[in-house]
Amino acid sequence: MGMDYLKNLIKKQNALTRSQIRRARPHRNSALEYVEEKDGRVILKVPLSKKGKIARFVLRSVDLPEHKQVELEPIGAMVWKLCDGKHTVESITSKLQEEYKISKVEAEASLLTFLDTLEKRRFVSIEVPEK
Amino acid sequence: MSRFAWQGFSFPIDESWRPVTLSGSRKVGYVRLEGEKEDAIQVRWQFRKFQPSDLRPHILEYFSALEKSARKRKLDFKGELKPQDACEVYYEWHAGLKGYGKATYDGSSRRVFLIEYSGRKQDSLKKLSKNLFDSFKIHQEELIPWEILGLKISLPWSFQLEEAALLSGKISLIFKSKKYRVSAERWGFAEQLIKQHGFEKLTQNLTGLQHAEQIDENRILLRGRSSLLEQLMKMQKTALVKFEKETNNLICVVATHIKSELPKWEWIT
Repeated sequence: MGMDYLKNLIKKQNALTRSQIRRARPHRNSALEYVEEKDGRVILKVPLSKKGKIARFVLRSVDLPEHKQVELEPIGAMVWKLCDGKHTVESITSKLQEEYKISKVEAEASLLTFLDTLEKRRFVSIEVPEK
Repeated sequence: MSRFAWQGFSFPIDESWRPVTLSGSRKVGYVRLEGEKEDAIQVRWQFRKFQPSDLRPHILEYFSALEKSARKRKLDFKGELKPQDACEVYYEWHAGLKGYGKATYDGSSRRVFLIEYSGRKQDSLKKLSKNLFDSFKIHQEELIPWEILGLKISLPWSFQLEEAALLSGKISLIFKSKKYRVSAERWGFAEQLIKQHGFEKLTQNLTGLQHAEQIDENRILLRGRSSLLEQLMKMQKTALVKFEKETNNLICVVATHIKSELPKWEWIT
């Protein structure tokens, strides 16, 4: 009982302090191209991996596209556009809070979960400040 | 300012505070909430059939655990007791951090409570801890409030908390009593979810119930076909979903109940 998202996230991030997490700046992976749709969505073009003999063989012999597309919903798209290396986690949290009328705790937890997913897929990198 | 209500007690709390530990049952348990700095509120409770003649042993036991942990971190520990009477003992401790607490016995629920506000040495915590002790309420009403991160529900004493899950975007509490099983969920980003799926469709997906009846602009009542086992046991599922525009939350309560015993929706109003 008592699953706690923030505790798990902080654990994962090797005992980063809450202040460090809030001052962290997410950067979009510059190798990824993206398109902004009119309805607020963002489509990411993610290059397919060419690592490994099998992957290279398959790509050579079959006419596969070089990219896969990942679609971000308007909320995710808003965060994606703010991952410019200028905005901190704290400032993105405030913008989410304002835009979607949610509490700070909710906004921060949702943002950290989303950034965690983006970072695992190498769509973003996180610049963590010193303590 | 919001409120944290859990296992029959409650206190007001700023919205930026978050629960980090929720454990135990009605009889014995522990909760910890953390604030913006390094401040924390902790509540420990334990069932005692009879009123203890002295609450000091409870605090001394707690002090000994704190001292052990301070020693491991090579910190000096100092604890002090300030008994008021047999039912109320105040205490404070100083190690790397400092804490102000109160031990009290509540005769109605027969529980000993240890309520504590702790934080950094340089911060002034006396007033904050006094505010906590003054506003800490032990509930004796017929309907007991539960309130956590925007999810509010009031249920009779007979309901026991079975499961709690705090996820980003979704808070879920599951309760059980002899006649009911109630699952209460709070979903964030409600307006966006409704815009994407439609209110009725969304509520049907969230509850798994198909027969939806819109009560008003913000509320939908749902009934579902029972499974074979539920039919044999004469059980039925009913749900009420409420859209809270001001907080952009969707409150979804699903009750599994005996057909003749419909849930009382004032539980979530």
